Amino acid sequence: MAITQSVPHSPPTTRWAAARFVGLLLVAGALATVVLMSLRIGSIDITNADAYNALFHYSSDSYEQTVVRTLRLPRTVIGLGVGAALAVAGAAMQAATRNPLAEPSLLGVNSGAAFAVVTAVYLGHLTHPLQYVWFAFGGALGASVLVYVIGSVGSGGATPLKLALAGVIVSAQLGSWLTALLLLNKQTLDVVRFWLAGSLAGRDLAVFSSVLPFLVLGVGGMVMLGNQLNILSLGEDAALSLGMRTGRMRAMVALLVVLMAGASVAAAGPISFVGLAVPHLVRALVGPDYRWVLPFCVLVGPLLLLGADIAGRVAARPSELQVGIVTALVGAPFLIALARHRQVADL
Amino acid sequence: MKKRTIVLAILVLVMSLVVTACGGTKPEEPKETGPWEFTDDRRIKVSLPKRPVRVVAQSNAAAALWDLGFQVVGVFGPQRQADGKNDPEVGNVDLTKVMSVGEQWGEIDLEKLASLRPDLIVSTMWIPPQLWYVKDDVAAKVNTIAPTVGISVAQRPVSDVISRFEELAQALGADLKAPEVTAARERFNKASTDLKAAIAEKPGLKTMFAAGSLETFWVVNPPYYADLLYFKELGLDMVVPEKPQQFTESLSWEQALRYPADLILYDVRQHVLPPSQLAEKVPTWNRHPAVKAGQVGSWHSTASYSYEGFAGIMEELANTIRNSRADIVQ
Repeated sequence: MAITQSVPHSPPTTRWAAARFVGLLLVAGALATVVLMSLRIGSIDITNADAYNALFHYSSDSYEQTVVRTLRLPRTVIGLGVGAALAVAGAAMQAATRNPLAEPSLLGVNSGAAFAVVTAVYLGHLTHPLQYVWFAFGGALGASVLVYVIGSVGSGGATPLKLALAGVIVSAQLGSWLTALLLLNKQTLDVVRFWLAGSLAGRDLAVFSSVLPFLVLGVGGMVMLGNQLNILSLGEDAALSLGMRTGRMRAMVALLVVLMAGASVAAAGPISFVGLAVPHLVRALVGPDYRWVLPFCVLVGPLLLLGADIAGRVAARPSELQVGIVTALVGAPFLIALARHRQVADL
Repeated sequence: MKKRTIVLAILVLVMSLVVTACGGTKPEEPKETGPWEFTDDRRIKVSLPKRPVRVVAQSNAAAALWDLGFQVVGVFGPQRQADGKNDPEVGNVDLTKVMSVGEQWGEIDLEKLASLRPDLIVSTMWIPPQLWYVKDDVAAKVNTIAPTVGISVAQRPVSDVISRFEELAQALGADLKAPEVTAARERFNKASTDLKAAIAEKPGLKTMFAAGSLETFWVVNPPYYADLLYFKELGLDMVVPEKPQQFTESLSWEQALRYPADLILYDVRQHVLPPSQLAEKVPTWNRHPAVKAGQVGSWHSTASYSYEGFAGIMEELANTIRNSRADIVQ
């Protein structure tokens, strides 16, 4: 543990701060470029003029403009929000649980959301995403509360290890119920099959808009807690000795994570690796200070997610690869490289 | 001593009751036949000491045999729809008279299958030598219960597929000259002639067989489908995708206009997203010339392989074609 750098009482040099600020601007520039590419590049070729007009002088008579406006714009917007939320949620969980492999699904968020959606579709015969999106949220919240309660039982309260174990147990339990439900009823599977595969294509912008406030609240709230995450990531004893009420802070972090992860899973389905890989990448770039890690995650998350989405659009023309497949394909070797070249425990 | 004898007597009585109860439903077996042989479309020759009586079949195959007058004792594959009606794939099979040994793809309850004591198991094949609905990991176990017969339903016209089912049904003892079978064959021939006439009435009509999800637009590759090959024989002009992965070419929705057509015939299976949903959620679908012109008809992608069932499909298609314009695209 590189404690010296992450302790808030030893402020980094001004020069290092300036370098990081410039870095932040560079990443923001890169993200802006990727956003433009996401509007410009896809399964069919579209001119700059059509891409521009689709945004500012939209004419629904033009097929090319329709493609940009109705297919590429929504997935770009959703990618921005979901990428940021997944990355920030992942970073927060890795800090709060001091577990380098932590990501939103560790708290049972994904399986909770999936289980609640499938149950709602099965019992309530819901068919429209706008109807079942709230169940994704409720399920995410319910599962993480359950994980937290189970993880808090016994001496020592909600330690990172107990939380992680409780997360695995709850996820496995919900996963098996989910499978049982799907096997029992084919109609349910037909409705949710698409939702269960993580993707930015074919997603409903209305669903994203309805969860956007929660996403913004989660990301914004978390970014402001960078300093507290620094202290939490020192470990229970150090944090306690610095006067932090760790249980309360972990609960706060968990709530924000549920907001972010619940919103992203509702908008795009479960997408792996972004929440896991982006924080590692960012820490390798800017060091372990979460006051910097989190803002970088806000930009690098969507940068990678949209990059993967664009790659998926052109890799299999005239078809496409789902972004979840691309992130998994890219993420696995990345993690292996990471594990081999760096001290992963360097949170 | 005496007590023990009574207990023994009661036991024997109960046992014999159980045995009779179990055997009570046993149907009247037809009179003994000699050795039986059938070579299936994998070139596998099934040899049995006598003609099979108890047959379990995949829904499609069961429906084909049923219409030819041979009744199976069990089915696997699609059976009842949500509304309680027969799934089109299982055709006219009376589901109250047969036992289900599985409905999902790849789901076969081996214990139920064994309990039916089948003499023969029949399935269709889309990609020979794999039997449809029989996954590789259970194929060996299924084979130990009874020999299997596979009938190819892809890459040859539906007329050939039906002929093969006729050969199988006849080998199983069905009477192909029965009045219902003859009537169905006549209806099939009449429907073929009429469909051919309908196609001839609309020169220049370009059709496209397709299915979609929120993410993907599938354009069907005609040479792989028995029904489409038969429609081609009758003169139907169909889009042939340029880069198909066997049965279909998957397109991103950005590519919705890749293949122009006057008439889209859309997959009506229950789990496929219906055109009404596409119209609502996929703006580029609405830009296809055929959709714009309101020319979207039905495609029964798990076609029926019986005269009766396929005649109905052709009558519907002829009607759709007669109600379509052929001048939407050049």
